[in-house]
Amino acid sequence: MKDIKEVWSNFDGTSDSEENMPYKILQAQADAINKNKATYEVFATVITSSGDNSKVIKHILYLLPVYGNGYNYRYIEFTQPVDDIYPVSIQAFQAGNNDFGSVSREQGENGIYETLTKIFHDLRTKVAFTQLKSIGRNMKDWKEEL
Amino acid sequence: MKLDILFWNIRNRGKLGQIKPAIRDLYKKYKPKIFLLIESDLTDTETEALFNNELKSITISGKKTVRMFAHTSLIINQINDKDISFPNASIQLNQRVVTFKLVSGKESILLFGTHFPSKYSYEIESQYKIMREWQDYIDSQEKLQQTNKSIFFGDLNMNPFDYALYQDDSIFAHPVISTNTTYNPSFYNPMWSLMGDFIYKTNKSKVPGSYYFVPNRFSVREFHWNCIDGVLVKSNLLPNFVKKELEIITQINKHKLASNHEIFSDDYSDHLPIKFQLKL
Repeated sequence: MKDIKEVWSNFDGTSDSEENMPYKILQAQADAINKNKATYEVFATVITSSGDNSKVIKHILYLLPVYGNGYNYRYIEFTQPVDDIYPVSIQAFQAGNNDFGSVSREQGENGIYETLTKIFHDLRTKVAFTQLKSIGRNMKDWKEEL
Repeated sequence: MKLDILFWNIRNRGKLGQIKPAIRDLYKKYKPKIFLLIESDLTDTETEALFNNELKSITISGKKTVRMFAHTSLIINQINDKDISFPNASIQLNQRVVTFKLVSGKESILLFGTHFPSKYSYEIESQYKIMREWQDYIDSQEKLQQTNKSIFFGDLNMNPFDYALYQDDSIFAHPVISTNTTYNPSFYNPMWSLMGDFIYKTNKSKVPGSYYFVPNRFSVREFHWNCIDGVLVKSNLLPNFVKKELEIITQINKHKLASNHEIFSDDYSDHLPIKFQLKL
């Protein structure tokens, strides 16, 4: 009987692509928000999910008031093919009907950064942070009353 | 702690004006700590009065037709408001679920109260697609709250055998959870046990479902009796679910909501209230 060969090509578990993965880009924005957590009274976290089918993967940046007992706001959502980097479709502000379009391979990382800049400068960002801070404070007061 | 939860879709609101006294008596009789009212046009203040002001509205958005009321002793709050926004979903669709976090000791339990889109507006296949998105939402909330103890309950608008409830790429709710099987359902669906008109072994008569409907005579997808209101319990919360306390309520003192042959929707609602209990 012939030996069974291992033809698995080892890799170190990461892509050898030079490009930054959408997840890492989104996580970097969350880290930047979290540096100002004390001032904003809001923090960010990124959750990855399989979406509603096996062909895509979603990375969602949620915002949570520090004192909000888990209250969360679905701020930015990246959807990419599970086996490719592009296209990355981007939605924001609770996703529904707030489509910021799709970033192609040709547009690359710069396309992602440009879209994120648009979202960060959108008036709704400021409103969401203010509202979340307010929700957190209300919940803090409510808890203290208990 | 015994946590009694009750829910009721009062869509028809009782043409003869019986619904308010029935809600008041329902609360008095069972004293649930949490009450989910669906398709109610009563104001929060009116509803709280029916609960003797012992339960308070904890639903943030005034527009929701799914409204949660909780006893003031509970540590519970809404964790997502209008935010159940799915790409390209209508506002109406996004308003059909409310999400709460209940803190009990060191544990957090997520409560998803729902009025799932019905077959009047969505085909079975569409319900399946919607549920796949909702399942993704449930997963995300569990990750965010760092718990995998969830309950999904309310007007599910689907029978236990509908594939949006049953299939493994949807919410995956089965009539039995066993560690010996090769598949591991996400949710336990006790509503399977409430179909049929008698209680196994005791032979005692019972109502065959929570919703009665006269189907179009040419329809092959519609049924007279349906068990479309329900509670799905995440499998690892199953030890906390008290099976014998699950009940479709047909009579509240003098208020007779249904016989074993029909639901008295002109007086009350075309849905029956359901109660269940968690031991925490």
